[in-house]
Amino acid sequence: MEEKQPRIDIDHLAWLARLQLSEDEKEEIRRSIERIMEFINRLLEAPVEDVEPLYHPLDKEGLLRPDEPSPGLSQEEALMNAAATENGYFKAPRTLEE
Amino acid sequence: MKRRTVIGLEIHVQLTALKTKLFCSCSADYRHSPPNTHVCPVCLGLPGALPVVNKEALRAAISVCLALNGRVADRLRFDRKHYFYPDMPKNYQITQYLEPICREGYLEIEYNGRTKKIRIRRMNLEEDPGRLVYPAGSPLHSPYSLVDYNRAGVALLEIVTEPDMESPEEARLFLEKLRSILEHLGVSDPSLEGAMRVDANISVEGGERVEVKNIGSIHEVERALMYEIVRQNSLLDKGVKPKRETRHWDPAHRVTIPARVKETEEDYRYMPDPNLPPVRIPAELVKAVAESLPELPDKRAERFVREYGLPRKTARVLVSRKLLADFYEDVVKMYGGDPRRAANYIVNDLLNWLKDYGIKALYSRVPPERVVKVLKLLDEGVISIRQAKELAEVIVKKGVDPEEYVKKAGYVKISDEEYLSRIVEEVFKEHPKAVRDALEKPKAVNFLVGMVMAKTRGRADPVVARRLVLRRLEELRARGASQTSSR
Amino acid sequence: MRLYTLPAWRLRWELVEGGGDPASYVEQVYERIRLFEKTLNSYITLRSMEEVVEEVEQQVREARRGAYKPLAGVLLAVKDNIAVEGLPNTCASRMLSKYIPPYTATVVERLVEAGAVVIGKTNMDEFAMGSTGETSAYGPTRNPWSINRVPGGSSSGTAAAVAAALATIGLGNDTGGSIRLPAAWTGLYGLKSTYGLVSRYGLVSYAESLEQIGPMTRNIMDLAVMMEAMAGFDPRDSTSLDYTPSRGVYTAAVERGEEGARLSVALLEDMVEHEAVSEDVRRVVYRAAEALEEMGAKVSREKVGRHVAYYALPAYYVIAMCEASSNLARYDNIRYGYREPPRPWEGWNTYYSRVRGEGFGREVKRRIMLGSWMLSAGYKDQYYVRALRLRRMVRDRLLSLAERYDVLLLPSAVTMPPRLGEAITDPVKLYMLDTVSVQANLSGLPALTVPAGKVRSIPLGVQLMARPLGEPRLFTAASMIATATGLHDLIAEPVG
Repeated sequence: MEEKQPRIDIDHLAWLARLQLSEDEKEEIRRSIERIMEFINRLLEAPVEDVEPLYHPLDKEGLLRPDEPSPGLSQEEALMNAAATENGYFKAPRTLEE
Repeated sequence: MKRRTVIGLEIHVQLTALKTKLFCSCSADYRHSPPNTHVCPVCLGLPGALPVVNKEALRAAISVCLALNGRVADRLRFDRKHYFYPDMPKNYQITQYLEPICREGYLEIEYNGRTKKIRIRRMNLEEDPGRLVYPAGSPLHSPYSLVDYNRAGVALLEIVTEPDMESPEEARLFLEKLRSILEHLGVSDPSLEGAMRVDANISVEGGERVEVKNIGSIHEVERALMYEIVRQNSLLDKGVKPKRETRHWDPAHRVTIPARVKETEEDYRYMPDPNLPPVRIPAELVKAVAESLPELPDKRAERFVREYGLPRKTARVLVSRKLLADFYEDVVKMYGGDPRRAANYIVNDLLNWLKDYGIKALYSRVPPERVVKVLKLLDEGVISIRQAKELAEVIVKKGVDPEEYVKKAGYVKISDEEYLSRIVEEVFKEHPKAVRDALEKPKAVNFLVGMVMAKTRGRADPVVARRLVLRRLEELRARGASQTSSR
Repeated sequence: MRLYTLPAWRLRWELVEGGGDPASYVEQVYERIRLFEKTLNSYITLRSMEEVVEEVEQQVREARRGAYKPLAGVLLAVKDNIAVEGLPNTCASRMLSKYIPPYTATVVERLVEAGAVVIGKTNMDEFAMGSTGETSAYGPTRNPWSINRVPGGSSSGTAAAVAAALATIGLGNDTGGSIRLPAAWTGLYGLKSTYGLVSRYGLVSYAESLEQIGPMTRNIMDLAVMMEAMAGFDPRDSTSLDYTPSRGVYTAAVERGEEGARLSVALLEDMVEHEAVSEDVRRVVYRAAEALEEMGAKVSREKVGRHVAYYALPAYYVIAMCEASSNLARYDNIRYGYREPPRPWEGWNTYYSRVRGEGFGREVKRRIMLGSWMLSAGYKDQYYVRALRLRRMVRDRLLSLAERYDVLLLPSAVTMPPRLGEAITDPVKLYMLDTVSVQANLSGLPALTVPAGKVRSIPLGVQLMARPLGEPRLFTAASMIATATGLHDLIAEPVG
C-alpha cells in the first residue's frame, strides 16, 4: 500500500481529546499507543475494494418524529448533577484562555 | 483607489415556527423562560439519550430550499462536528456536512435598478448551541461563565451563499429579501432575538478572506462590512496585506476584533452520526411541499403592481416584510378606495414613524381600521394631505383614533357658511330659552356656539360659527324691535 | 426451597402460582451477596433489601391479580452503563462517579413492566472499554468459577452476579463481544441481538453503530422470556428496527429446540482453526457441533475468508475508537460528572483537559486519543473510512453465509479466561480476546453464546450467529445444545 505509517505526536493527540497527562502517563501511553498502532496498521495491508463505507450495519432508515412538545426535565432535575450552579444556570469555565 | 470587494454570507436561521427542538420534544419556545427549563436528557446531552429528527424541520427545510430555487437532497443525513465549548452539551454539534439538505439555489436582488443573482451554495439543518451568560458582563472580565441550555437543540438552518456580493448594500438587500421569504414561508420569525445570525466573509482585492462571525442583525451586518472595507483598504493603502483570519463584530463599539488563533485551527473531525441513519426524502414529499408553498414576495409584488396599480418600487417596499404586505392588503380590503393612495400613505408616511417601534409593532400600534379612517377623512376632504401626514405621526406614536384626535385637535373646520347657517337655525329652534338669554346677555352666546360645535362633532370653524350665531341674533333683535314697534 | 437457584420462568411460577414467598427469595439472594460479593466485586450499586423486597412483593401481587408479568418478582442485575432513574450510573469510571440519571432506559422500563425488579448496578470495564472487567475504576470483578481469573468483559459484573446467583437475570451490552465473552467464561447464555432489535435509549454510548443491550441468563428459556419483554421498536431510538416480536415467538423457538430440529449449521472452520484460538476452545466448539447433530442438525464446514477472520478486528477497533472519541467528548463535568467545578479564571480548555485527565482511566484515554486522531483531517480516509469499507466487505460475506444456513457456529472466546492481571498489561493482547466477537457487531447480525463444555471445571460457551432477525433460529439451536449437553442452570459457588 502506498500509505505510510505516520509518526504519532502524543501532545497533539492529548490536545485533540482534551486530556492533561502527567509525564509518566505520557510515556506509558506513548509506548502503548505505538504498540496499538502496529496492530491497527494491519488494516493498511488488507486489500480493500472500492465499496461504499458502511456506517450503519443494516440498511435501515432513520426515524422522523412528529413536532409535538412533551414535558422534559424540571430545572431542579436538569441541574441536579451539575458540579456547580448559580441562579438556575450551570457554572462553566471561563471562555477565554489565559 | 477603489478596490473590488467580494462578500459571501453564512446565515443561521432558527426555525422558530417549530413547536419542538430539532432532535427532541422539548418546547422550542424558550425565549421568555427561566434558564434550563426547556431541557431534557436529549438536549442536555445526558449519557444514553438519543436524538430523533423532527419531521416538520425537514418540511420547513425543504420549503426554504424550494423558495431559494435550490435542489433538495434525496436523503436527510446528519454528521457530527466536534469542538469543545461550554455551550455545547455533547461537545459536538449535529449538523449536515457531506450531504446538505439543499444545494445550488439562488436569490435575485434589485440593486441600482438592475436585477442581480446571488447564488446559494448550500443549506444545512443543525442544532443550535446553548447560551452563555457572563456574570461580569463580558468574557474578558468574568472569572467563569454560566450556561443556559434552553436554546440547545433548537432547529437551525444554515444558509451559505457564494461570494457573489460586492458591497455592504448588496449584502443587506440579500438579507432583507431572505428575511421576507422566510416570513412568507412561515418557518421563521427572523425578528425574534437571535433568530437570524450572520457570519460574513469579506475580502478586498489584494487581501485574504476575513470572516466576521456572529452578527446579530441585518443592520449590523451592513455596518460590520463597511467597517471591514475601511479597515482592509486602509491596510492595503499602507502596503499591508490583510491576512486570512476570523474576527468578531463588537456592536457596542462598532468595530471588529480578531478572534483567538485556536478558533480558526479547530479540526472538526466530521463523521456521520451513528444515531441517525439517513432518511430517504421521497420525491412526493418534495412535490407536496412545493405545491403548498405560499405566495412569495416576488410574486406578491408583481400582483400588487398588477392588481392595485402600484409602482414597482412601492410594491417592493411593501413586500419587504410579510407583516407590512399583509397590513397593506387588510387596509385595502377595508378601505375600498384607491389602493395607490393606501400604499403611498403606508409607505411614505406610516413607515417613517414606525421605525422606532419595529415592524412587529405595526398591528398593535396601528390597527388597519385607523389607517382606513385617515384615508376616508382625506377622501371626504375633511382633512388636507398635509394634515394626513401629520396624523401619521400621532396615530403611530400616541396610538389614538384619528377621528377623535382630529376633533380634539380641531383639525377639521367646517367653514361652509350655508351649511353652518342651517345648523345655527336648528340650534336656535331647539334652544329657544338659550336664545332669549343670549338676546339679553352677551355671555350666553357661548352656549349657542357650543351647541353648533357639538352638532358638527367639533368640526365647525368656531370663528365662523360665532359670527353666524351673532348674525342670527342680530336678525332676531332687528325683527323683535320691529315687532315691538308695530305692537 | 432454594428459590435463588431457579431459572426466571420457573421462579415466576413458584412466586405467582406455587405459593413461593417473594421475601424469602430476595433474602436468599442477599444472603449470597453477603457471602460472595466481597470476593467477586460484581456490583457497583446495590439497592437496600427492604426496598427490593417491597417491589418484588408488589410485582408478585399484581401478577397474582392477573397482570401479564412473565418476569414477576425476578431480580435483575443491570450493567452500570444503562440508565435507571435515581440509581448511580457510573460506567465504572471516576468521571461519572457522581452521576445519577433522571430517566430510565427503555429496556429497563419494559423489563420492569414485565415484572422484573432491579437489584443493583453492576461492575464493568470503564465505559465498556475492555474485555476482562479489569479497566473498572471500582476494581476488577472476579470469575465466580475460578476467582483468580477474570470473568470476561466488559459486562463483567452482570456475568459474575448472574453466574453466582447474586441475581436471577442480568443486562449487559455488547459492542465487540462484551456480553458474549463474559457469558462464555461464566457458564451463561448471552445474546447480542440483531442491530436495532433492542432499543439503545438509555445505554451510555461507546460505539453506537456497533452496540446493543442484551440479556444474560443461566437458562435459555429466560433469555427468550427477557427478549420477548425487551425487544422491539422504540420511537426514541432512530436506529430501532420497525419490528416487534410477537409474544411467544422466542420461547416457542426454545421449545422447538428441546425436541430437536433439522437446522442447517455452518461450522466456520477458519474461525475455529484461527491461530489465536486455543486447543481447549476448539474442542468445545467441535463438541457443540456434535451436540447439534445429535439433535437433528446438519453441520457443514465453511470458510469466512481473511477479511472476516483477520482484518475485522483492527477494523472494529478503528471504528470503535473513532465513535468513542466522539461519544466521550461530552464528559466535561459541567452538566454531570464527578462534580469538580471549574476554578475561578480557569479557561475552558485547561478545565476540560484537567477534569478529563483526572476522570478517565488509561484504556479510555488511549482509545479516545487514537479515535480523535484517526478521525482528524489527513488520517480519516486512511483509517476510519478504510475500516468502514472493510466493514462492508465483512458484513456482505457474513450475510451471504447467514442467508445460506440457519445458524453459523464459531467460538465465543479464543481462550479460557486469563488470570487477573495477565492480559491487561498489554493492550493488544487484550484486543486479541475479541478476535471472534467483533464480526457480529460489524455486521449487525445476531449472535448468541451458549455453554457447551467445561475445561478444568470452568464452563465455556460457543457462539451461534444467524441472519438479521434470525433470533428464533439462535434460540432453537442454543436449546438443542443445552438439551444435548445438559449444561444449563449452572450456578457457581465461589471459593477462596
